[in-house]
Amino acid sequence: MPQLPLSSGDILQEATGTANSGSSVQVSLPAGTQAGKTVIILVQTSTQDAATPSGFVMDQATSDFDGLFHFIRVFRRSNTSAAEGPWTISSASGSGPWTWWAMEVDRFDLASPKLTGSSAEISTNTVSPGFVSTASTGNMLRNDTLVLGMLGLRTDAANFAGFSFGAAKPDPYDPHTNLGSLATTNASGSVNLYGQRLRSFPYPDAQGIDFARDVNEPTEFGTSSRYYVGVVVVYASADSSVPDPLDFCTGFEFGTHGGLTAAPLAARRIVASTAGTWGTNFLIQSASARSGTYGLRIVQSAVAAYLRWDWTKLDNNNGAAAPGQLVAGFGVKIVSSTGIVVLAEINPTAGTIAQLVYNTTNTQLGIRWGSGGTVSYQSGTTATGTFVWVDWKVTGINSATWAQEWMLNGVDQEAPVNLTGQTASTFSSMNVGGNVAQTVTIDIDDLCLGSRAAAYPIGKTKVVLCTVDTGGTLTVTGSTANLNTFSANGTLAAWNATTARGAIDEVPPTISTSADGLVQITAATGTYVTIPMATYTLATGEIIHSVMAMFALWANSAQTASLELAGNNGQAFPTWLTTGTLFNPGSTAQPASATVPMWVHGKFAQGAAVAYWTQTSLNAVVLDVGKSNDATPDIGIHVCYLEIAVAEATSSRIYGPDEDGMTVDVTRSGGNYAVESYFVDCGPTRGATLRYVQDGTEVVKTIAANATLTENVSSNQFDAVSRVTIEPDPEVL
Amino acid sequence: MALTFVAASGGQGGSTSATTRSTTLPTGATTGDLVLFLPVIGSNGTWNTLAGWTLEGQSVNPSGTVHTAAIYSRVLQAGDTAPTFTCTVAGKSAWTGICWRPGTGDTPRVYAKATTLITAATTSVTPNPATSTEPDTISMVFNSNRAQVNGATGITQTPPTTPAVYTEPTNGDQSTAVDTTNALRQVGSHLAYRTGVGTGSIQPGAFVMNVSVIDIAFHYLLTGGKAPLPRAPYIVQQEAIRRAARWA
Repeated sequence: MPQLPLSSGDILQEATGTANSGSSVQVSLPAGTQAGKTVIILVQTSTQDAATPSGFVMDQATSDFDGLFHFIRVFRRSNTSAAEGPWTISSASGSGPWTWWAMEVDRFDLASPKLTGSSAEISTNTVSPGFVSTASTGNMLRNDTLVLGMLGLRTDAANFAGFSFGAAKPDPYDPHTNLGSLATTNASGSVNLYGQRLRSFPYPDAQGIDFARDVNEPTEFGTSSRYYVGVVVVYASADSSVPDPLDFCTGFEFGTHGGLTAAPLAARRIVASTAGTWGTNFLIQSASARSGTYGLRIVQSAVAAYLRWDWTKLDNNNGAAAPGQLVAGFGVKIVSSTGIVVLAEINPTAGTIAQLVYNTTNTQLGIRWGSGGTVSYQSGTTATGTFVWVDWKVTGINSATWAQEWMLNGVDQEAPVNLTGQTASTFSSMNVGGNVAQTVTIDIDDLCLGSRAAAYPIGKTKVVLCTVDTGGTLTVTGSTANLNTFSANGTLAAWNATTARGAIDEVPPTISTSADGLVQITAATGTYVTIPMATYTLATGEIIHSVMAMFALWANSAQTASLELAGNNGQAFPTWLTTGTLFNPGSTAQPASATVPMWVHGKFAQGAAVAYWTQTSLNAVVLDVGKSNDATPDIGIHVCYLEIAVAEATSSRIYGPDEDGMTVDVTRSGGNYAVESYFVDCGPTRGATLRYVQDGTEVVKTIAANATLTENVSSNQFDAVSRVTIEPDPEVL
Repeated sequence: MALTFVAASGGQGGSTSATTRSTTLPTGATTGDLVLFLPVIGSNGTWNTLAGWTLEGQSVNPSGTVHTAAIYSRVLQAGDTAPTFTCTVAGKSAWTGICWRPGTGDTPRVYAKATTLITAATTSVTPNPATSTEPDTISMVFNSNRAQVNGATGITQTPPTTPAVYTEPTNGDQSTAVDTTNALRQVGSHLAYRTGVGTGSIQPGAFVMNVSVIDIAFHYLLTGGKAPLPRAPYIVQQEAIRRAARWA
């Protein structure tokens, strides 16, 4: 299960303060900080500036305006050391007054917690100016957030004490908590500051937020000038759900290891590298499927053998810096084993690896640090011959404290004690199989990897393959004369859209002298074919994590040529692979695709506007192939596929059986584990009352004895249901 | 005649991951007393039935870090010893037990229940109300919980004082704590009671925990009054009354 949303319990300590004057102000919390937490300071001042304290970053700030000095600034320090504080905030010139609000927060995303923010400045001399506003943020697109805001007033009016902020501007998404006021008057009495703090958590995703508040001004303000400023900033918890969370997934549904022995591309590979032999140690076969038609079998007989996915060769890192964590989810089945065997490893660039192991004697999975660390075994056992879903996270690799968490079939398991005092490193790679001579046979399927800590747990997921839409029509932009179809691994024919569609729809691709496909034969950067893709219809409770696109390329001879691969899902920034990205399937590094295709496997990224995949956006997916600037040799594709990571709905028992045989089960949607439905079976003896609170409203349902109830809740996020009560009818007296 | 509190017992097995949870009977418990136990385990399993003991209810709170809890009861018989409860999945565990003594001729029992899963992390746990129909009713709250922050600090409970005082007896506040292997999220088992609640809807106040938890709150109503009539004879009797009225 995901960790629970931020709550007031995650504000470890907080304090407020004011200072009437001075070129600096000391901000302190009741006690020194704990290690690994986050400190947020909101400060309002009428001095010329407020410099960012050492070790902090400034997340949000208002601007100076009207030639007067009145700011609110929001400073953050992530990943604190033990016993930090107090902090001094200084102005380079000028003097207060100051008001401030500081807090130490637990469970924040320590890397980049700020999601969005806004700020506004308002100058007025109008009596009762109405609502003052921070302006609305953009949509947050994530739940489990902490929203902080501050509104401030500077006025020269004499009677300042009668001022207060009033009610919130009507807003259906306004669960904010007003935390009271901060007021100060500087020594000369010429400048007054008044601030109000606001706080809220969690906040619905896909909503903007505006801390608009009414103001109650005393009549003494008259027409004197006053200056309002406001900020709102939204932070994500470490466990805040993330849209499109995977960097890589495969269900091995392409059905062949042909082409996987070579590594033609620097990145966007299906498998980065191997230690072992395809066809001997690694088999893609139907007998190893957890979902769909195919899965991966790894066979080790007193040898080391593993497949490796590493950061630099994952498809969509786009040159991004290696992260300090990896989140993995996959199905694993123990077919046979001897002793304690390594099933998977997460490798830092330097330092201690993390291992998933299986103890044959105890029939238990476990994780450990290094190859000799103490294993934290699962509670219960894992029998051979049955798939179990593993969620696994290694975090903090880029800090001194490294941590692991893991779950089996959605249930938390005890993890090894954190490694402390480590030299900071980065995530390097993940192996499936064992980099040690051992005897074990396992099946792996539905492998999902994410580089953001908040992607954990990925949860039970199936990776579904979609081919070209065999009922759709391929369309050509540019001239069809520049395109051909091919059969018999090189017999070209004039373009025919129906023939082309039929030539790219097989699974696995036909890689032989009978190979067929479509091909660009004339250099034309304005010519490309758009391929409509089949879709997957989500069942109740299922959601789409992420989508990969993959192509098996073909060239007519072993020479370098260019080809552009792209895609569109109808969204605002739909392009997969930037325009002009070229591939060279006929290069000497990968000749003769008649025997092994060059695979290109990349994340179908949704561009700058990262958003959740929906049924609509999946239905809209098309892939583009073409735009070759040389077409020498003729270059094209055998097939193109989508690999869609579909998070599965899960059901579990939450009550019973009790003395009367009464039970309650809950079904949660995939990915965010939002409650989809409850199922109550009263048993023969007593009826019952089911109550639950959804988005603050209690729902009450009664069920008779010997009856059942399916209660569809359809909540939209994990924490939408806060309490569930089952009350069996009292005994009859 | 009302039930009389005898004693409570409790313990924890934080350093072990086991499927069994041994207990001790509350001090002074004897034949005829009503004893209830709340074993809590930090795993997602099913508490097994135990011969002679009534499995009043059990629940899993799968939100956050999972835990599973059950309530067992038994009117002690001569020769009874402390029970050992078994869950299908191992984990660290904590338990509490309580003993109530009936008056002469009483039939002590649990007659009403409300089991509430608190699925959002909180330090304030308010059980749902249960309806009292017996004037001698005792309201008992069993809180099982799991901390939602890692740490070696055990979970402690502070019972409410409003709208009415609930009493936490000695041994009624148990948690895994410092002797855990991994200092991972702790498991708690707590109980408290209120006597003389009268009849009507009984709403306990908020129980306060020292750390943020998810919780299963078992709110049970106990009585020492007469035993319930079997359901079938009751229905037959009602039918007989209706027939008698029709012929009258």
